[in-house]
Amino acid sequence: MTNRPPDDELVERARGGDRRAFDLLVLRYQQRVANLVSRYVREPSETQDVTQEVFIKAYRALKGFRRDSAFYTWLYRIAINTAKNFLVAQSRRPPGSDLGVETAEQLGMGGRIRDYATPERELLSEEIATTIRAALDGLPEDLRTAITLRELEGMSYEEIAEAMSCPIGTVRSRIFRAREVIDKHLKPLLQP
Amino acid sequence: MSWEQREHLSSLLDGELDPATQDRVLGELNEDEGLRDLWGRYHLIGEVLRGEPVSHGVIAVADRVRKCLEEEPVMLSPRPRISIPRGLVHVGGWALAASVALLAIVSGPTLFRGAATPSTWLVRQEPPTPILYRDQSGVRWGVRRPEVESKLNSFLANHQAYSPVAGLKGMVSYATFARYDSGR
Repeated sequence: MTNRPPDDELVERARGGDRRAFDLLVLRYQQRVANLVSRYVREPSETQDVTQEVFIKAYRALKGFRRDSAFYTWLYRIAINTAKNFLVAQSRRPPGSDLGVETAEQLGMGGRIRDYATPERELLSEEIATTIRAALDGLPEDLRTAITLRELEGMSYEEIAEAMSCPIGTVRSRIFRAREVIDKHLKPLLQP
Repeated sequence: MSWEQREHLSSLLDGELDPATQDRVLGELNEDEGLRDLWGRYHLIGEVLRGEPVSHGVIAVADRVRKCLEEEPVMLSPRPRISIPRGLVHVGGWALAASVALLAIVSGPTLFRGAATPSTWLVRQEPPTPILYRDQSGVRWGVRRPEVESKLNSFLANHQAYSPVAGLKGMVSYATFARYDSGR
């Protein structure tokens, strides 16, 4: 896999002081970070506070991010440290061992958040997942393949173009159209 | 929210948008709440397809972080280092080494021999004024035996002749205070 991580440009812009770019990174990772933090901090309000603190710390430390690792891996370490420090400050004992980034995600760190999610939210989450999968299944073959290669396999547009024997512009268009079709089904579920 | 804006957002999500357009899209995202929502939904689609846990609406700290950071000074990353071609680094190293060597050749004799070696740039050289070392009792050495005194004088003469730092005034000044034995 030779594709460039999609965070690179946003991270570089955020390092240059572009808060809009950092804002998008927060939008991208807030849920994953919150899932991780909830492993240490059980109270929902505290999880929110610690998650917010993680991103503020990350922003302040961005100039020190040397790209030795992926942005999320770096963010993951900040999240773990912030959550542990929070527990220590609260005179609570942090867990003895940390999971690796991949392991934590594979084990479904969202489990803790689901502990305090309301039944309505649980239901909504299930409905969202079902709707998106159904919409994916209903896509024309070329759109489904393009978005699957992108989202599941993490392939770059160039690699997908090579795999599907079509120009990069076509790949760009197919992925976008696939998202648009799925979004048409998804959006009504999320409207208040 | 135009079709083009949405397509750009999709490309930005994948890190496949050219830098020039990115700036414009980031500006639009900042002002358009609808685009920000769409960004969130595009992410949600990716999360579900990847089999990640969906907990939409449970956590939404982006706006809080945004407000907090508005009060922060802008963080600027350090300028990237100017990369010097490897060849130039070697040339620079050799140039530095050559400069040091030249300096050593030019200043070495003066530094280490001082008055003992006549320099061509001296316009006028006066013979050094002999300084007699005398202790408070008026005797050169604190010994009263002539054979010992002679040995000491001999040692100092040799020291003056061979020591590389004998001409450094201030460091081993006693050496220049010594006088050869009148009998030599």
